Order: sequence, then C-alpha cells, then structure tokens
Amino acid sequence: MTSKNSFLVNSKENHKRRTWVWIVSILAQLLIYPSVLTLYLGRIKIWNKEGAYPTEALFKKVMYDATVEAIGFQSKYVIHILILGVIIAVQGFSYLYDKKKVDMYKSVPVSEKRRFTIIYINGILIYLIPAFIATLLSLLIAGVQGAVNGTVLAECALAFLVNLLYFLIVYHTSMLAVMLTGNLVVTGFAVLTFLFSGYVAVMLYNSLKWLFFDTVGGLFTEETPHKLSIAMEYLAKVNRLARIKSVSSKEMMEAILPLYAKWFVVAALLLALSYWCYRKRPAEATGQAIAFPVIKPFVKVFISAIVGLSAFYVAEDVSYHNTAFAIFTMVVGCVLCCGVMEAIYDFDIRSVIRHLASTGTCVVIVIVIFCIFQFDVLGYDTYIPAIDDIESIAVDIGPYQQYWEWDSADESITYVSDTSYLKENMFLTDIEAVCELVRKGQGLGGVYENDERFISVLYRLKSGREVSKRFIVDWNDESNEELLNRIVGTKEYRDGFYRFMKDDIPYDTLRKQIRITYTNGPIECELPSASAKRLRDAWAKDMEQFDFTMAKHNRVCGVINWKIGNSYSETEMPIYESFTNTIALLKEYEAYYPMQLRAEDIDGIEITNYHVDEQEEAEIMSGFPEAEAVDVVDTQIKPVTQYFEEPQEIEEIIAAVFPQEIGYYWNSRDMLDRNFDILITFKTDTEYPYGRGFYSYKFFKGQAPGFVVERTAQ
Amino acid sequence: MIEIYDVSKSFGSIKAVDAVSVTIKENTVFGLIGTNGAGKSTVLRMVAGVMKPDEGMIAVDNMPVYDNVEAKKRMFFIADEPYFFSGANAIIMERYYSSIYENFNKEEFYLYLTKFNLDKDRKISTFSKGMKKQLALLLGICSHTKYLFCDETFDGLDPVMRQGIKSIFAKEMEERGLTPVIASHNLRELEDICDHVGLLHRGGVLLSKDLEDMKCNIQKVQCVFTSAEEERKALGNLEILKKEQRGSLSTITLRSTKEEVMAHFATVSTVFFEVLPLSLEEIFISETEVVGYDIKKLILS
Repeated sequence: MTSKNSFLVNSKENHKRRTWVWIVSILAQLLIYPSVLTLYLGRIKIWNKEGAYPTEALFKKVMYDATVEAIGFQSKYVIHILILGVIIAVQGFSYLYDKKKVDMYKSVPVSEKRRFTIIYINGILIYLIPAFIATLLSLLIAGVQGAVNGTVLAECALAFLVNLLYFLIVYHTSMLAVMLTGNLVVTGFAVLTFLFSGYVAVMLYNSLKWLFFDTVGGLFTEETPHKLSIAMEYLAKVNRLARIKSVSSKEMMEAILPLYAKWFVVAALLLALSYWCYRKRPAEATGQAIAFPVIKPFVKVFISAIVGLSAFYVAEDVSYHNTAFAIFTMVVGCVLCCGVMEAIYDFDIRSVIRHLASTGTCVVIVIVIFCIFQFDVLGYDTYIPAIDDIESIAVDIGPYQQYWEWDSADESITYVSDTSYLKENMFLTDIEAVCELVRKGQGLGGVYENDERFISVLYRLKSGREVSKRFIVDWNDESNEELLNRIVGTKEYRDGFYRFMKDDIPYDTLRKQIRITYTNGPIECELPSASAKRLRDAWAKDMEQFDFTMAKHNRVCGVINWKIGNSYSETEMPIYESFTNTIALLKEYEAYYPMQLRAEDIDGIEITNYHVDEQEEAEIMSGFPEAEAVDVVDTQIKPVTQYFEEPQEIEEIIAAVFPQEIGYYWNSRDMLDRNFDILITFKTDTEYPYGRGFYSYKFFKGQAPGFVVERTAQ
Repeated sequence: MIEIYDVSKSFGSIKAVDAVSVTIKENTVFGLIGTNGAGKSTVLRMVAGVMKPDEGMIAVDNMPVYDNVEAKKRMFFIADEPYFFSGANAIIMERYYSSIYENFNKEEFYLYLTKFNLDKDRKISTFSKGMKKQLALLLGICSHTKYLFCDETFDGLDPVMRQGIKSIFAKEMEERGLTPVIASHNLRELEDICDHVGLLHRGGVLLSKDLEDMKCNIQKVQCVFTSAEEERKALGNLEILKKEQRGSLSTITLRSTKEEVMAHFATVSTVFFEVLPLSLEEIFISETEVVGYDIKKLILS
C-alpha cells in the first residue's frame, strides 16, 4: 500500500492537475507520427501500383526511406517538439504566477525539492510516453507493411534520442524562463529571448560586419548563427544528420555523438540553473515581471542593445546609407526599447522614464558598439595572422568549378560545395605569398571598379582555429602576377582547385555513369567513356605547366565537360593550345576541332550593337537618377542590327570573335566587348560538324572591325 | 509553540514587517490584529513557510519552518483567498489534502460538510465567498494539524457559522490541542474567539497580551460621587487610563483588578457606583492610548 504523502502519491496528484497537457501531448504525437507515416507509405504504394518503382528492391528502399522520413531525423518536427516543451514546462510551474496557488503549495508539507522533482519528471513523462508509444506504433505500422529493417530501426532510435534531448533543452529553457519571470506573458518573451536571441544576436553581428567591413565573407565563411541558438541548431543539425546515408557510418557517429554530448551538457546546465533559480525564487515574485530584480538592468540593456543596433541596420538600409539618420534611429530605438522594458517590468506605462541611468548606459553601449564597427577598432579589416601562426592556407582564386566526392561505400557521386571541397583539399604552404597578396588587397579598400576580384582566403592556424576572410586582387596589376604565380602555379593549388587533379576517381566503376564531351563552342563531340582515364592523365600532365601567367595571357581553345551521374551540372577541364598531350588524345578520338573559325564554313553573320557604353555615358551625362535615366535614354539609343555575308567581312569578323558560352576563365573579365552580340550561321555542307548550325559570339574588346562599328552606329 | 524572533521582511523599498517578535503559545487562539498593510498576512505567510524572512527567525516547536516538511506537517495555512483546484469539488480537495496530511480525517470532514450544509459534489467555483472560507476552514481543521493559520478567514462569515467554527475550535483544542492563529483587521471579529492578541502596526508589534490579563487588569467604573472631596479622595490613588464626565456621572477606565476596585470604592462615599464590562475594543483603546496610539485610527475606523 502506498503511504500518504509519498513521492508516488504526490506525483499522482500532480498528474491530475495536468490532464489537458497529457491530452495535447498524446494528440500531438500519436496523431502526427503514425499519421504522417501512413500517408507516406500509402502514397508510395499507389505510386508503386502505377509502376513508379520498376524493381522490388527499389520499392523496398523507398518504403524504408519513407519510414525514416516520417520518424527519423526530420527537421519538420521542430515546431511541435518546441511547442510541447514550452507548454509542458510553463503549465507545470505556472503555479508560481499565482499568489493563491503559491500560498497553498508552499505551505503544505511537501519539500521544494520534491515538488520540483515531481513536476519535472511528470513533464518529461508527458512528452516521453506518448512519443515512445507513437514511435512504437509507427514502427509497427511500418513493420506490417515491410518498411522496417535494422537500419531504419537504428536511425529511428538515434532520432528519438535527438528529439528527446532537444525536448529537454526546450523544456529546461522554458522552466528557466518561468523561474525568472512572474507572469505568463513575460515568460513567453523570456522563452523567445532564450531560444532565439542568440540567433538574432549572431545574425545582427554578421549583418553589421557585412555593412562595415570590406574583408568579411568569402566562400569559407560559415554563417552559423544557430551556434548560439539550439532551437535553430536543431534545424541545421537534423538536416545534416538526415543527409548522412549510413546510420552506422563513421560520419554519422562523428556527427551525432558530439551532438548528443553537447545537448546533454546544455540540457544539464539549464536544468541545474532552473533548479537553482527555483530554490532562490522568492514567493513574492508572483505576478512580478521579473522574479529576480537584480537581473532587470542586464536584461534591459541586452535586449535594448539588440533592438537599437537592429534599428541602425534597418535605417542604414532604407535610408541608402545615411549614417547620421541611422545613428539617430539607433538611439531612439534603444531609448524606446528601454522605456518599453521598464513599462513591462512595472506593468505601468508611466514607468517608461524610470531608471534613466541604465537607459543611458544602454545608449552608450550601442554607440560604443557602433564606433567599434565604424572605426574598425578591433582591426577586423586589417587582420592578417602572423605568418608563423599559420599552418596552411586555402584560397578560392579562379573560375567557378563543379565539385563532387566519390562515395566508395555505395559507389555514388555526391556533389559538394566549392567551399567544403577547397577547405578539405587545398593546403597552400607559400603563406608569405598569400599574405602579401592580401596586404596589397587591403590597400584597395572595398573598391571594385575595374577588374578587381574578390578572393576568399582561409587561414588554418597552428592553434587549430580557422579564420576566413576575403580580399581584393587587381587582376590587371602586373605586380601581382608574381605573387599569383607563387600561389596558382603550385601543385598544391592545382591539386586542391581542380577536381580532376585528385587521383581518387574509379574510372572503370564510373564508366556507365560518365558522359564526356569536348567543345570549342559551336562544335561538340562526345568522347567514349573508356577514354576517361587517358584523358584525365593527359590533362593532368599538361596542367604541370599551368600557372597564373599562362592562364591569364592565353585563351582556352576548348573545354572537356564531364557529366557524372544524374546531375545536370558538368565538371570542366579547360584546354589551352599548349596542352599538347590532351589535344593529341582528342585528335586520336577525332574529337578535336580548332576554335578558330573558317570563313568558308560560314553562311552569314548577324551583329547587333546595343551601344551599352554609349547608353551608360548618356545616363551619366543626363544627371538623372539611375532608374529614370534608363527610361529617358532607352527612348534615345536603340540597338542596331546588321547582317554581314561578304567573305572579306566574314574573314575580318571571325578573326576578332570568341564563343559566348565559353567562359573567360583566367583572362581579364573585360576581355570581351559587351556592346555587340554576334550570331554566326554556318553552312550545312561543311567538313566540320557545326551541331545546331549557328552559334553566338562576342568581339574581343576593341577588336570590332571598323566597318561593323560604322554600320551598326546610331 | 511558535516563536517569531526579530523577523523582518521587505518588498522592494517597502518594509512590510519590521523586527517583529511574538510568541504563540500552544492551545490558545491567537489573534493577529492590524490595519490593511500592517503586515499580518506577511507574518502569517512567513510563519506558514510560504515566504522566507529577510532577517530573524521563525520556529515551530523549535524547528525552523521555511522548506521544512516536518514543521509544515504541524500546520495548515488558510490564505485570505484560499485556492481550490480548477473545476474541483469538496471531494477532490479532500483527496488532495488527505494525500498530503497524514492525519486527515475524512469521516469528520464529510460530517462537517453535512453540518455546514456544503454540498460535496458541487463545484467549488460556484460557492459563495463565505462558503469557500468555510470549506477551507473545514479542510484545515480536518487535516488535524497542530496549528491552523487563518488569514482573514472569519471575514465574511455569518454569526451562525462563526459560532459553529468557534465550537469546532473549542472541541479540537480540547481534544488534540489545536492552536488556531487568526489574522484579521477587525477587532470585533476576534473578540469572542481569541485568547491572546497581538497588535501589528506598520510592520511592528504594538502589543501582545492575553485577553484575560487585559480584561482583568483594566476596569471601567461608572459612579456619582457625593462631593468633589470624595471624588478627589477616590481617584487620588488609582492608575486612571481615561475619565469622562457627563454632569455628575463619571465614567472612569482604570488599571486594576475588579476586586481591588470594589474594595477601593467601598471606602468612598458614592451616590451610584457600578463596574461595567469592557469590550475588547475598549481595552485596546486604553492599552494603545497608553503607548501613544489612537486605536480608532488604527483598526476601528
């Protein structure tokens, strides 16, 4: 028999007071998980009947995936776990808001520790029992339909634990919010502040960096505002976990174990803090906005500073960088927020002018923060790590590349971002060259007028820290050439930058998944997939001569495109005329055609002069605002199109053109003349296979023949 | 015994209780009197372990009370607005308290409910204010704790109910030594219940005395003296607290026992002499005037 006033009896009594929360939790979980799963599986069965899955194995795989999608790692459940965590915590401890309840509960012979423990454990049970039953029920439903195997079970178990830890963090955070506040509305604000203010603060910090600093960003910069907000981290992490293919893989373990450990520690700390606040919370805090008056000024300053700086950022943007107006808005926003906070503290609008000292402190703080950014007090833009502190460097210099990784486990290709590829594969050791280039770029400030290019740089420090910055390189500054050669001309760079330099590609395995083509613009030839390895080896050999000087001063004569797997993207191998090994191989496969056009193959050339330069000049001269100037000028300068078919004219024109769809790669960006569009129509009875029969070109800058300029003039 | 020693409590800049020291003896009905804001509820909430004193010490049977389950097992606190669970009836409240208090007497509770005409199945939210207070009192009494703290609990009870509760108190005090502590702003409400009264004003204790002692030591006399000489002779040796004169009729409040007064006036020549009964209100007026306060302004107005 259970004795009176025992833990179990107290616990049972507490459950009686929480019936509606039980109902909410049961409905939310028992309805969501099994229902979503049933819908998924039902849909797949219908599609299977319609013949969407040709093999039984594929059908099975899709069914397994559906189970995992319903009850595995899924960010879609973030809201419902978050809401349950908040409701269960707030309802459990809401008696602290009510003087009548506090009088009763605190006067009865139940210790504070026991009351906390009972409410806390019951709260977890309210979430856990329906969640467990819902997951079990879902697995049963899936099992009956053959949509469960060991991997599915393992992933669901891991996901269950992740969701439980996330619930605990939200639950403990909400408990802490209740302990620190005295009524439901303020608790709501506190929960939002705890869960999202870190995210907002980091977002704001990043936004201000972008606004004030020239060297912020770059490809290697990881915008991770969720770092300070577990509510948001759940989305990022769970999505990442969902992408990991093998539940038992090293990658999964490396991702999930630190996550478990981190969230467990965070949850434990939040619980300890909540309990401490619970014990310290005075009974008279009931009905007050903040239970501990000592934290009021800190909360006020923190929130008002965020609001003030956010107001600055918005005002800067809407006022087209009117800094004086933005500062005014920042101060006003800060003062208003301080006033609102005071009014909330006292539940009295007349309190807006109370505690002006802390309001003044807040204004000073936001002004100081503004000055730190405005005058770069901490030297963000001028920061270059000491050479001795740098282990290695990765830079993103060069044309865009498509990157992918070969997954030997399931023999598939996974496309990866350039950032992560370069980060993993490029380790430059000529640190002095990079730092010198960065130093020269800093001298340019944020100017981006001619052919300056933003370069991303990742410093890997010996301390283990990584620093990502971007800087500007003047592409046409000859004094940079030597430095760029010291970077681009190294094997380390080539191996890190060009995907095909990496010797990890199983060409034989990939044979059926590869489509290789060579193009010089108008002509595209398919190469046998069996040639893949020979092509790659020849190209890698030719690349040994590659450096910045070569790439900048020579134009590509063609490109080999690799289409791998089901992707629409292609990975490119630029071919220069000096790449004799590759060209010889292309010739061997009868795929090589020179880029230089032959006049006898051309039927005619249509050239349109858009007079872009003239138009811009007119806009500047007109003095009209940009938007209006376009309208005005558009009515005055019209494109002029002419057709050229005389052999002499064609000879002159084709000597000065470059295929439009082939990029400028390492050449100067303004290599081509933007005023003209050239459409060349080829004859049908030519020796060369001009696929579509026509192709678009551009003139090299300043090389448009005089007669073309004359005939297409206004 | 409850010992309150030098207890203070502030709410922000407001000092609600200022160095209060009171001893509440067992098996007495202790009345805590004071105006609104005098600190009665705060003292009671501290004694009940709801609030922690900023300074000082409170001990119930030599045990500190705050967050002390053993001390709290001996007490039941009825707040000025007692809390009942949402949608609850008397049965649900009984189940809760009987799960908390080991000696809760269910039979007695339902018997009292019947006697007080409280429907056990009716939702408490539909009860009148007085009925809620009756229910709270019955729950408190049936919890069989040694101490019962009532904050303004008798305010609003009709005389019949007051009499009923008073009878139960008397019975419980006799049978198991119940010690009720009753806080009220209304002196008249406590007059016929309390044995000992503590008067709180502005957070401090003005006085704390046994009612019987106060009643025995203060007398009110109405008399008509035969001459002015007789009057001087009669009043010369007495500790007079107050004297009113209407024509030849003198009404005198004085500090003395009834026997001493009777013996004293037997030696004086009077046309008319009578010792009148003193109300608690009059005793308080006299006592507080002695220490420089006008009680009417404190609790009677």
